[in-house]
Amino acid sequence: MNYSETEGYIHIPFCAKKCSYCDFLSFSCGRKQQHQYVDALIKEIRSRSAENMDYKMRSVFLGGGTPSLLEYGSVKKIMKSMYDNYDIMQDAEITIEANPSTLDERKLEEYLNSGINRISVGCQSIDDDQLKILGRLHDSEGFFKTIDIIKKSGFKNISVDLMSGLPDQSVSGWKETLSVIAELKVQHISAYSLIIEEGTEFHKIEDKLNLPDESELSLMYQSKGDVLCKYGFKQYEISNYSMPGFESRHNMGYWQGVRYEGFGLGAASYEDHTRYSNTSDFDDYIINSDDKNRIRRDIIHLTDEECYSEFMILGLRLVNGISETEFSERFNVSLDQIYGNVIKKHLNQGTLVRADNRIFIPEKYLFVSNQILTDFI
Amino acid sequence: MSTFDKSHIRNFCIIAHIDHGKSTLADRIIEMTGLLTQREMQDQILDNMDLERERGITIKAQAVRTVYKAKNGEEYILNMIDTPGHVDFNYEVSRSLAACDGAILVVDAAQGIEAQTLGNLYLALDHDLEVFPVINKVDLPSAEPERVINEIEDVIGIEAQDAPQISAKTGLNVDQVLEAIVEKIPAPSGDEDSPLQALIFDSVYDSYKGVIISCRVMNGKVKKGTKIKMMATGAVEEVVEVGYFGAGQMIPCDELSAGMVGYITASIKNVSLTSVGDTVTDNDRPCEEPLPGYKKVNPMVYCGLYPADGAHYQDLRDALEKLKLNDASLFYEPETSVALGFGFRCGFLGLLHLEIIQERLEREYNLDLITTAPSVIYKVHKTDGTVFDLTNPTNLPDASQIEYMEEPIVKAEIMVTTDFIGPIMQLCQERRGQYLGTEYIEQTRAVLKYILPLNEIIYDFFDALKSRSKGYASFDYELEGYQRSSLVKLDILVNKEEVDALSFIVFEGSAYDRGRRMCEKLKEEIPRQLFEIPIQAAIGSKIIARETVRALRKDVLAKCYGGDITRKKKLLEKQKEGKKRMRSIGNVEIPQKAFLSVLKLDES
Repeated sequence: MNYSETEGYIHIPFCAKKCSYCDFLSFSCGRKQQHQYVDALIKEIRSRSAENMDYKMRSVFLGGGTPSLLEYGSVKKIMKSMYDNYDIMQDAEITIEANPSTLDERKLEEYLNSGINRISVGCQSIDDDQLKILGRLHDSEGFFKTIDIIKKSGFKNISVDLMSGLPDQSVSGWKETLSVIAELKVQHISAYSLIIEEGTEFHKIEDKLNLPDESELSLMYQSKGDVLCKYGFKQYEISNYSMPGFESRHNMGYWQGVRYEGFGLGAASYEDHTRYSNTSDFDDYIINSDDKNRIRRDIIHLTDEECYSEFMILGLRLVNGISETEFSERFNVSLDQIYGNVIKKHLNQGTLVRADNRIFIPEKYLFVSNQILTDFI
Repeated sequence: MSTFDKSHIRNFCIIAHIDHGKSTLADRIIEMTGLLTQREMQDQILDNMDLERERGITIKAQAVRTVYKAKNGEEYILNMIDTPGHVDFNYEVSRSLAACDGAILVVDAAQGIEAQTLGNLYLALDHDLEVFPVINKVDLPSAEPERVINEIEDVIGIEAQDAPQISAKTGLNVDQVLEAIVEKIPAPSGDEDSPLQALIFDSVYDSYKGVIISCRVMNGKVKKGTKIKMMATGAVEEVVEVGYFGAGQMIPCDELSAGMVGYITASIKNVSLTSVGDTVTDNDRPCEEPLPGYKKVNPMVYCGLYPADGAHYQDLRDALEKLKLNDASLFYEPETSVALGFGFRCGFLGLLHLEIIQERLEREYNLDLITTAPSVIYKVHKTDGTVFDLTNPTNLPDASQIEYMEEPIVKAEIMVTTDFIGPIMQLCQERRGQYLGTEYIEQTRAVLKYILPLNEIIYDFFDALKSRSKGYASFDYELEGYQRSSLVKLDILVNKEEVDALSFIVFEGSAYDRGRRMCEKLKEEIPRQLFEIPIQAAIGSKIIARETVRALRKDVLAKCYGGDITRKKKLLEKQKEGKKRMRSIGNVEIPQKAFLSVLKLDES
């Protein structure tokens, strides 16, 4: 781990329409607001440059919302400002999230010209009925077309988001979906089990949804690995699979405790034992985006114990777990000194494995990992 | 004081079935004799523990003195002694009654005579008290005073035609009760010049004054400086203060003489030296005989009490010590459980007493407790000829060392309307009752008499009785003795490990059923975990029931990225909080609730 590295996250809170399951900070907006926002974002990016003088940026992630919804030229402006103000590494992973049917050749060319080298497409499902229930604006055809033009444009690192545990979804249907996506020869698949969050459309109608039961969910989870492995994918995190070498570097950073800078409305940052978020109030952000004292909210200073705990609960999400050496180097105390008893208990019952100086949760327990993680809190 | 001679004192109590309005009538009497203005009254002044007020029961005996100006123009001292209202405290009741010369029998105008009405009445008659009835709650729409009057005359055989028909709640006709007290209850007898003989009917510990003895002076007198001796315990102390009880306060006076009710303080440090029922005499001029009726009260029901958080063991010890200062019938000694850690085996007079102590520990001392299944005291006759009292199931020796076992039995009277005789008899049958007979009180009401094993009634008998009789049955019992019985120890194994805190002694014939229900209940209460958890009930090495808690199959935070680490961590913290309230047995986490739920097996 190189401690002079940082990651950059840029939040684009706009969506054409809110999906039924989404509890992220996103909403639809007009052109004027978009312009205001991009300007405010660039102001913030510029204003935080000084505090990042000593850091190299190893990844940038434009997330949302739907960044691909931004009109022509905006992404380029944002990325230019990033390159102008931060020391972005040569081999940095630079991702943009996109929704099917929001992209065209011109946008894709703009992204490539802006330094973006990875694109993450929100597919969720290839069943049109399910897509409707989810409140998505695209259909499966739109998705396949989108993948097609992305490939043609020259992107070499494509990720697809999928969801399991959807209303009316069957285990066999889910397996079919996985195969179809894997055959598209994309490099990365994030496959999430649906969580019904408070405040979402789904939460209001949860009783009426025909959701798979726990044993089906468990089978769906298992089948992810079974199907995707056949196509050469490897699981590297609870919900993430990739072809070798295509693990998302940016997301790995979150789980490995790398410093990150979040730009934009509601974006979270983590540096030097401190985590905070920007304001979620749009007008507030537009006016004050270049004044960190005005927009920072929920500033949490982590104690040493909380840092140990986060190191474990985030690191153990990864299939190869955490490095004991890294723990002791980072915290100047050995892992056993802090968690000896808990680790021993789990090693004894086979719910943790220790090998090559690393500790990890065996694959078959990842889907019940909370039971293990809570012992590290 | 001196203006009153004995002929102007009335010592009485109020007896009633629970909820028939005893405490409310006491309040009205206090209010109407001007001891407190209405504004000063807090409802039910005698029940001064929160718990008593909430549950509407009286736990400890209390006395209050008021002065009443009768219609004949003369003033009378009324000493009202409130008696506990539950079978667990029968002995205390009997001592309070012994301190009185008469009793008011309160009967609810709608409900009529109930089991406790009779139980308490017979106790009063045993003490030769003059009893007169009062019909309460005549203001209720469902009141049938005439029917109740006839019932009293038929069943009890006391004259009731001119019984005051009152509403203690509104104060209606309570003046008639006051007059009846003066007219019908005899003035105390006794000789002021004989050696001191005073009956202790209550004692409480006060951190400033030491033990405050509530007593009725039968003969002689006592004042500051008297060297008193407690005849049963032998304790000798010099009196610091004597006095009587105003409403909620103690009023010192010069002396207490024969016929009077009041208190004595003598810098006594422990209520166990001043047992209820003991006789106080003058050490320098002792009486020849103690007053009759004293007995040492022994616990009947035992259970383990453990702090939910092992770190609070010392706090629990301190709290028990303090409660014990005031409750000689509470017993406790340290014990250790593999499942629950350090705690105490505690003995109680009955299940209500247990619940009261438990609630006081939780409320007044802010302790979070785990209680093990209550157990009666079994007599274990070993093959080597020795006998010992078993209060903790864990201590039962191996079956090969046991010749036979005995269990305590009670004689129970259940009063019920005839419609429900069938279901109630069936209940008693299920609880291994031996039917003794039925007595009809009137055409529609009967008293069923049964011998029942105590361990069949300590859990939930009362609830079952209420539910099977739609609330119409009432119940009273007294300990009858011991009876030989086929008893076994039922053990519960969670993930193949015995959980000592869940073991209990049960009648062999009920073991299978109880074991099965216990496993079912635990299955509901133990959350699914990483592994499949077998729950088994066993007698010795024989498994008699089994349930399985299936392994958890999904418990995961599917997404966790930079923006929601804080929130996701909170979810895990919340989950962790739940885990903290669990006990680890081997690999398995058992929630506290599981230990408690098995106490209430029959509710589901």
